[in-house]
Amino acid sequence: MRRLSLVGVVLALAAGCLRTASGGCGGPAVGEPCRCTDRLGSRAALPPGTGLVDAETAPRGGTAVVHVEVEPPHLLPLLRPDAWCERIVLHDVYEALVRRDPFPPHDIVPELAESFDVSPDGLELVFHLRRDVRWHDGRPFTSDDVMFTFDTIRDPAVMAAAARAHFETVERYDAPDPATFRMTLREPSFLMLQHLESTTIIPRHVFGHGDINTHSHIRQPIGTGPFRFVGYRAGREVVLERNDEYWGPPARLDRIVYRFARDRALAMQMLRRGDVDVLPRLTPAQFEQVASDTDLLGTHELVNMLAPGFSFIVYNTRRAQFRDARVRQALTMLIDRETILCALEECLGEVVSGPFPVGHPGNDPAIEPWPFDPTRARRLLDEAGWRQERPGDVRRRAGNPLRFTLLIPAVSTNQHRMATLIQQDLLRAGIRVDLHSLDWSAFMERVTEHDFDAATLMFSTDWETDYFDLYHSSQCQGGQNYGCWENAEADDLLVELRRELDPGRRVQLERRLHQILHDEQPITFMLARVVTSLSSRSIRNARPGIPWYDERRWFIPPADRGDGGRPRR
Amino acid sequence: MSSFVWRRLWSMVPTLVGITIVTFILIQLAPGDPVTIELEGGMRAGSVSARVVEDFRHAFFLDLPLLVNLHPMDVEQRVDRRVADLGHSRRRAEAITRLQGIGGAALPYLIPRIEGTDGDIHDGVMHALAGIAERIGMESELASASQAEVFWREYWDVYRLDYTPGRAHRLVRRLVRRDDPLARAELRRLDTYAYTPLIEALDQGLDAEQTTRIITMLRQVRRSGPTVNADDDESARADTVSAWQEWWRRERSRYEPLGRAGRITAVVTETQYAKWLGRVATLSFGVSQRDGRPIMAKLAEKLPVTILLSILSVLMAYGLAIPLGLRSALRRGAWSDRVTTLVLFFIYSLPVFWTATVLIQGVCGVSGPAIFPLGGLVSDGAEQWSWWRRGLDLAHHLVLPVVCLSYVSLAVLSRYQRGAMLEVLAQDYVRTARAKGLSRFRVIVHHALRNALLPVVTLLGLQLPYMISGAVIVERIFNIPGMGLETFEAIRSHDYNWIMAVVTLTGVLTMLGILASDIVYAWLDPRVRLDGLDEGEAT
Repeated sequence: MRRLSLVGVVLALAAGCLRTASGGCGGPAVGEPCRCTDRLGSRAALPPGTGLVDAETAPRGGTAVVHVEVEPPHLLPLLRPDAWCERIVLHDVYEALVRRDPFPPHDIVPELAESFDVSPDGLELVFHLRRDVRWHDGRPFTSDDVMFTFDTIRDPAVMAAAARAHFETVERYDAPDPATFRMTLREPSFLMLQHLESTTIIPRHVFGHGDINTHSHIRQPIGTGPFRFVGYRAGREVVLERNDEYWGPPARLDRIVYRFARDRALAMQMLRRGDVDVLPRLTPAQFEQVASDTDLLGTHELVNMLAPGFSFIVYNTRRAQFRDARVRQALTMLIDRETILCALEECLGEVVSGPFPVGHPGNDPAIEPWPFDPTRARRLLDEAGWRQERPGDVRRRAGNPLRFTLLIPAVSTNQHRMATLIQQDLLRAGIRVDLHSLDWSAFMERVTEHDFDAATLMFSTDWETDYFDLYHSSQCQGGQNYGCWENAEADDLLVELRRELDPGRRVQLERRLHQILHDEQPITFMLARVVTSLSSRSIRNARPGIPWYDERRWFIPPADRGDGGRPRR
Repeated sequence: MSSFVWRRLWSMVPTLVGITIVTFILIQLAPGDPVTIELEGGMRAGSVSARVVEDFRHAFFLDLPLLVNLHPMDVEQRVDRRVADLGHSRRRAEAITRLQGIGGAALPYLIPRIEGTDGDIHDGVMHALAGIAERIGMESELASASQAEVFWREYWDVYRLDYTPGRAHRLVRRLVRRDDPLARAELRRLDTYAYTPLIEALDQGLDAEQTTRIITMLRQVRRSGPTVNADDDESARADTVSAWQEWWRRERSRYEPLGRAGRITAVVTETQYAKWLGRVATLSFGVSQRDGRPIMAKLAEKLPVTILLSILSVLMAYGLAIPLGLRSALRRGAWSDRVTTLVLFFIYSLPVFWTATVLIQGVCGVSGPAIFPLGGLVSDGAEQWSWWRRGLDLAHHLVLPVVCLSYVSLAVLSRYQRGAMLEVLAQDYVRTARAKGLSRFRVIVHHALRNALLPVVTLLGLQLPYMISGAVIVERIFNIPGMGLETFEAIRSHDYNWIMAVVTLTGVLTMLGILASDIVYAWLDPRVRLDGLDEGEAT
């Protein structure tokens, strides 16, 4: 008797554990639909820039410490694009000719160029540079530095391959006088301003000697921006100070320290202890912890923002099962994306129907993502010829079973769990899915060689992106159209979109592209991720934008400053 | 003993070469290379193009074969390949651009192709030559000539002899002697053909003015590259010169022809392994492909940290394990022995990542008192403190990581020591020593312990290679910039140079460690003879 009851206790405990592990909705077991809409209140992502206050008249002073997850290899964004390198120095220490506003409406605004003209055919760009700008070492900034920057990018011996690729359509460029820079393109490119936005202008008098690839100043930036580089302790932190001689409205904070810590759990502990004030990215698990920690929320605030980019499942349209668009639509309708969002990402995100970032004008508001509708999906499959003999069988067409292998990269356990949920959903409709997890390099090799049926992937994009590489039929070889999808109308749209500069016409073309992608479903669009950040309430205007914060707006009111100008705990 | 040591040291060399070759092949066999790995996890839409990838690979010699190069590429081979590409519509434009990029160095191989080709290839050749004419300043003559073919034939009749090494060297020597505008004009016509003598001139010691002249000429040909300014000092000039030399090391196969002898040696020298071996021979392991920093600089930064951590944890583990094992053996069966055993087993079963996290939570000021600092190696503002205070601060930071690194080995080693001690204590000679009337201390420490230390000392020798590999988990959780974390990241991003450097170092240290262990063994146990068996010795 005693032994039986012991077994009973163990079983009851096990059952209880299973229930709580069933997903973020904390109720029904896996298999029942879970809706995030009712819980979205606290998790809703606000548009970037909500809650910004005017900083022009805020008092100066204070120091903020920001957590950086991965120490950047160097501090020169031209060499080798690196996300953290750009976040630390771009538009803070170094500046570019123009800048994109991190907050809506995300317009291109002048920076080192006080104005610019674009010819009607889009081939000539002329930038009128500011005359009162000085480098942080006091030397004046002129168009000669811009010339040097472009010469450096064009030099094949400089490891600036990505930047060089951006400017391949530039036929020639010159600087007729110290305050003007001209550029002629071979064909109009709508992304040219965006590329210029991320091209830091570097000083000739610093980088002119020696090999720029191994130059000592790639870790000691000298720029023109509102912050001046002060120190870099390898493995530990980068320190910036306010540049009081900045040509524009000066920043408010005295210092910003970017502290490195590879481990996010350690970073959270550093925040709790007061060694760090801003955590730019939290994991969903950390979000759950913090959201219920009222003490911490008293001194810090959580901000959610939808980041550009999306996860998706790509179908290899060369395989017989995926040639028919109806099958792909049916697959999309069989995947319960809301439940996946709920169970895996704690409802932090949004189901998307197209590649454009949420809030982008190219998103057609009339297009809703395909609903989770198994009945309709089954009908579509029947129409396409994939039929079940008996309920519960695998569907067949002309004797062939509807079966495929889903490739998953082994980098994230989340993708694996998502794939398992998808497998179950599809099995109920008579589609057999085998899961195969691969190491990242092996995964990419198979995907680029089109040796797969379906694969889960994720793209991160910018506010404006050229989708040519992703969806044009020519990009099947060597591009990112891994599924080899072909659609003549989409091809024409993509080519036109590359050259079209008029905003109104662009919106028309983009929405049409959105509609085609929605109808054809070459990929099943899954989720746009939410980026959660945690920052001290004493720092005002610490709001993430796309792609990053705008540190020049941050300020700490004197009443909220503790020792050393740090935010009071 | 000494001949034994010499023999062992000599045999290290072929072993090392073998290790490096095998590692080299293995890491190349893993799919993916540094370029594709940079797109880890979430990809950027619209990322690198094929040309960009090719340039990157060339910069790191990744386009060379691994061990044996049966088709070494020199300028002649490259020109041939590009001319063949002119016949394919998709590769034409690229081929023309590349041929124009090769410049004057291509003329000796391109001009003979004017006759004997027709159609698309002929058109492509003429197109490329037109671009080269612009480079060497002959575009107006070409434009005013009646037929391009005739122009080039006449040009080659007149100037062919200039495109010889002897003449090119003479021109450069003239330029070095003084600022000779005629020499400069002729060198401009030679264009990229003049790279070889120009760079060789830089290798000889030149004064400031001469260096400036040579580098100005180089920049004129290359249209870019590091400059010298009038107000540069000695070291800035030296930097620029070595930048040019480094550039030439990477690019020379594009512009230089290989002679017959050169072609034979190139079979082994124009390979990835040979390039790596060349770098190692000068003790420069090259540049990290992950972040572009020189490997030696990174090693100098991270190795001392990891070695310090390892030495401290070995000291702690052995320093506590030997007495503990000794005590347990002497008090076998008593309460203290049983309690010690239980506690050690318990500690042994705690996973390192859990212990580290709990310690941080508990004693670093997160949920408990702030007895220890929260990770890292130095406190804020430690640069201004005195040596003494900095040393204490470092020790303060190292306590928790060292504890985490050593507690597992502590448990294992003390059990080993206990077992070895028990075995020795049962031997006859111990009983004899006791019977002779020696003090307990002398019996235990001098006779028994010395023998019981043998297995433990062997293990110590094998620890040496682990000293530099570091501990990834502890380094990550405590935010310590050491070798472990770096090697982990290097493996993930296929940073071949770093991996090879660490493998070589580990190989050397493993062999040294085993050798040291053998020597100490022989010293501790006179029965062990390292020079081979003597005659008449049994077993």
